[in-house]
Amino acid sequence: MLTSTGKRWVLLFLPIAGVAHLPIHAQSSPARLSYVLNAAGTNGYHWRGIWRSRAPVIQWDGAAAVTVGHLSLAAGSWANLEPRSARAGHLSDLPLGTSGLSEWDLWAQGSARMRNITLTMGVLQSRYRRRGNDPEVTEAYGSVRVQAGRWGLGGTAWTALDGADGTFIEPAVTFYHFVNPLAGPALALSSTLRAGFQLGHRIPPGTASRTPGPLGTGLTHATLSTQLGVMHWLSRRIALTARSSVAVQWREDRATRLRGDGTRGAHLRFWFPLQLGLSLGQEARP
Amino acid sequence: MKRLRGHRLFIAIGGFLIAGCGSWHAQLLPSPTSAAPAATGWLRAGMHRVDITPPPGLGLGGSGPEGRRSTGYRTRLYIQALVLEDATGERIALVTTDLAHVSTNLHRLTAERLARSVGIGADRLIMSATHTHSGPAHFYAERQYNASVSRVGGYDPRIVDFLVERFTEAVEVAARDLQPATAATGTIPIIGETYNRSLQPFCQNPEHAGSSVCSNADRAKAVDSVFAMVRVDRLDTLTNMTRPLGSYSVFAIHGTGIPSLNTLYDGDIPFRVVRALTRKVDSATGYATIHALANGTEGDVAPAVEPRDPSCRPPRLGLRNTILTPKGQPGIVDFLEPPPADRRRCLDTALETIDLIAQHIADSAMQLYTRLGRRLTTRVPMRRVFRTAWLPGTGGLCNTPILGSGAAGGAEGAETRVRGWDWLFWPLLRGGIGEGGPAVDPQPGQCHSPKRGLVEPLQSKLVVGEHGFPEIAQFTLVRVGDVLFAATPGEITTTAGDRVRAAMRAALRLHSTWNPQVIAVISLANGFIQYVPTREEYGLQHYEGGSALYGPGTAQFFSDRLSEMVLELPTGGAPSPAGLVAPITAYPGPPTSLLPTPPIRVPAIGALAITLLCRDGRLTAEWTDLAPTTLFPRAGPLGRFVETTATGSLTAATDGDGSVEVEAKSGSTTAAWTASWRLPASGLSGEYRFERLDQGGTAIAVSTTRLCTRR
Ligand SMILES: [Zn+2]
Repeated sequence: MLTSTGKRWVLLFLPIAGVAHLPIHAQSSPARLSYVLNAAGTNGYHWRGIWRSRAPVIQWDGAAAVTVGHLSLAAGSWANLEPRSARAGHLSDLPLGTSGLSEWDLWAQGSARMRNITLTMGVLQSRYRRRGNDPEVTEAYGSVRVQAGRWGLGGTAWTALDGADGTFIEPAVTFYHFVNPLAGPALALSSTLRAGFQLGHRIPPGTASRTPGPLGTGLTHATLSTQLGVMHWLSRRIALTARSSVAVQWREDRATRLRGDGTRGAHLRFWFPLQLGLSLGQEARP
Repeated sequence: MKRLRGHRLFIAIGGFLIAGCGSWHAQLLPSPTSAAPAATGWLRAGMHRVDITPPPGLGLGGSGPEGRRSTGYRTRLYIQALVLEDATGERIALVTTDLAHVSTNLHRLTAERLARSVGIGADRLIMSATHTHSGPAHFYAERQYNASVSRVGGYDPRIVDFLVERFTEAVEVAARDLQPATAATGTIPIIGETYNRSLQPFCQNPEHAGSSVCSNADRAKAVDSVFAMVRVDRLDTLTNMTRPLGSYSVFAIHGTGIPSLNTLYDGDIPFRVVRALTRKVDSATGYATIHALANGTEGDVAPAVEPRDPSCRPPRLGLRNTILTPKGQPGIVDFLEPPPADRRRCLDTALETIDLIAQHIADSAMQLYTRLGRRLTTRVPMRRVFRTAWLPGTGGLCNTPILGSGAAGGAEGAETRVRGWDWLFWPLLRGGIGEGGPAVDPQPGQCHSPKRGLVEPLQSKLVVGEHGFPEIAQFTLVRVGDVLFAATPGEITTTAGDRVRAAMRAALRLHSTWNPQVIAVISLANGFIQYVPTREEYGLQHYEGGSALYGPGTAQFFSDRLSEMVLELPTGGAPSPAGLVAPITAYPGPPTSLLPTPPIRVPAIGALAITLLCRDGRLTAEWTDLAPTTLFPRAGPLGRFVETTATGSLTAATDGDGSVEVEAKSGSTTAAWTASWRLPASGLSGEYRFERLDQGGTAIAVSTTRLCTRR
């Protein structure tokens, strides 16, 4: 029998091996390394229909990828920092009165690109600092992204492997109002409609403060956001990225964070994420 | 330049449009008039050609968002100048250049220098562009053109200086070499090498209603097929013997034979016509001649390159190769270039096609040239009339120039990446980027109706702003023997051209007994104001209609001005009217540095090591050399491929002749060069080497010899 760590490794490699066997023309192009480093600020951290923080947070992620032809392998880390000390109303993942790192995730994935379709499969492990409250959750995910003219269609499915059970799916459709056709920064103005559904997905509530995940089956959130993304090259290989969006979100927080009794609560909320980052190894625009 | 960066970002948001709000950078242009004619009693002529190929790195002008940054060159770019002077001393410079357009600042600044040195002012200087879409941009007198004729935006005064210096040199050398000459003028029809790319608007004109051309959709016949030529020979006044000097011709054909995904400087079809004609004449006569080809009423006339290979498509939207992380933000969507193999196939098929088109045009041109050799005469009276016209609100034109949304998607056969983008900035602004359809917006009482302005009112209020588009047009009429040249800054459509000519002929009949054999309208001369369609064509708002900046009355304005000018043409032996050159102002926008600068100290490079590879039927030489800014501009070839045979060796291909693609990737002082030659299809396998040549044509480095076969 495999240990749980061993199982994770197998699960990590299975999807990548699967992706590598997709019918793709072999490319003689050399391996290319790329890195991204992002820092984002938002007026709250909202995750799959649940508030993980209603106070402003700073999120960062770093990733490295190696790309050969149409295939790429990537691994990275994502973290959430709460700069203000947590109060009851924040619905934070941190113990009351504390601040700092509240979540730290690790992931690894394989991607394949064929013309305008991108397929990705990977494993994500979400770790929370408030141990014993929110459990560590490991999920396998698969996503597809299709660009058809000015429409971007995509979806991700997450299946719990450890620490939770069930599946969560998140389809999205994006319309690009404008993309810079001239030289200079890559710039796109787009609107996205995204929805989240849980299919028997359940992340058990934590012990101390009923910190839960979604329960049951159904729509957890729907978001309409308009986003401006800019990628500005500082040199031939280093680009500065900036994204900002305004989003209106309907969510059904069936979790017990808002309501101690665990009943449903539907809410409309504006959301303004602002992200700044560095991207290395990106070929400059022609 | 902080200010410019801010602007760039704004431009990007505004698309195709660059901001210049508040920063006009006004520059008063000189108004040089010509010296009074001094009779010599002889028809005299001089010709000269100057290489203007700049170092790579500049944006290729003419294709808007599709105009790539140049990485090298496939053909050299030239200026050809013919200076003619009749027996009464009437002097005219007819100049063509391998650029997409000629701007008023290039014209006036060149004329200022020429007026001082050889007495040729703005009123006797016709500088016109062949309209190749693979020449450098960044020299315009108008801010908006500097921003948007290429993907790479910006105005570089050093490029203006670079070009003005070379225009001046071309005309000065030709003028200083004026010698007794004979000339002949004539025409030949050329059908099948061009087609009308905007047939629906063409057939909207009442003169074509019910015509067989329209009922059969015979696009090849819906064009101006007249190829007009002035042949000039030198005359030895002692022996009365003549020898060929060259020719100046006008033919309507868009400079869009090379697909816009090209990244190399290239003179397109006109260059290849001129090259083929030069080779034919030189080998038939044994003299080194110079030929110039100006563009005619080419507004809706495309070269017969359609249907293109399916690999020729503009970039499409796709995900950049960012890392799509499971958390965080989605990837960046951008226009992605087609794969290199597609790009190669597209270019190779296009290059084969345009070589054939150019060959056919040159065959007819040679026929005409030969025929004109029997009609050479010294009696070639010349006269000219010049006028500068103010455009906004004048003679039926609208007050404000506005680009239509039908223009931004590009013309049929020259589509841009945003063609078909209806509802730009949806749901805020309607603006079908693409011809007709949503680009038509009837608004009774509005001057521009039915043109829908591209992202109006954003365009005129915020993006283009005041003085962003041209506000003046320079017109020149020149009689050369039996030909009347009408040089205009517009891209006149076939039918608009017919109407302009008819109006001029009607005016001539009232005024004089002279009935010119041909009225050759020269497009893209002495400035650029975009398209001139008929009112009926304008109504459909295809690319040409959307590009008529001043509204539906543009063609009528051209007809009115040119027929007024015809009335000023002297009759009998009277001299040309005095040249009144009105002062004009350029508003090029803030200067930026785009032309690469040569290193302060040229590095010692030592012996060059050239590697020669044979791959996919191409021979590619690779070597490290001085930076292009040190080696260019350059009159002679940089290198050549030599075939070694049993009996010796012969030049197989030379850089700049259209078959060798030269690229340079610059480091700080040196550059990595490649010269890639596609072996001719007919060629058997052969043994080749590459030689890097010095300015005198001597090999300074030679590769090893390699066997290579075209697949
Ligand atoms: Zn054109």
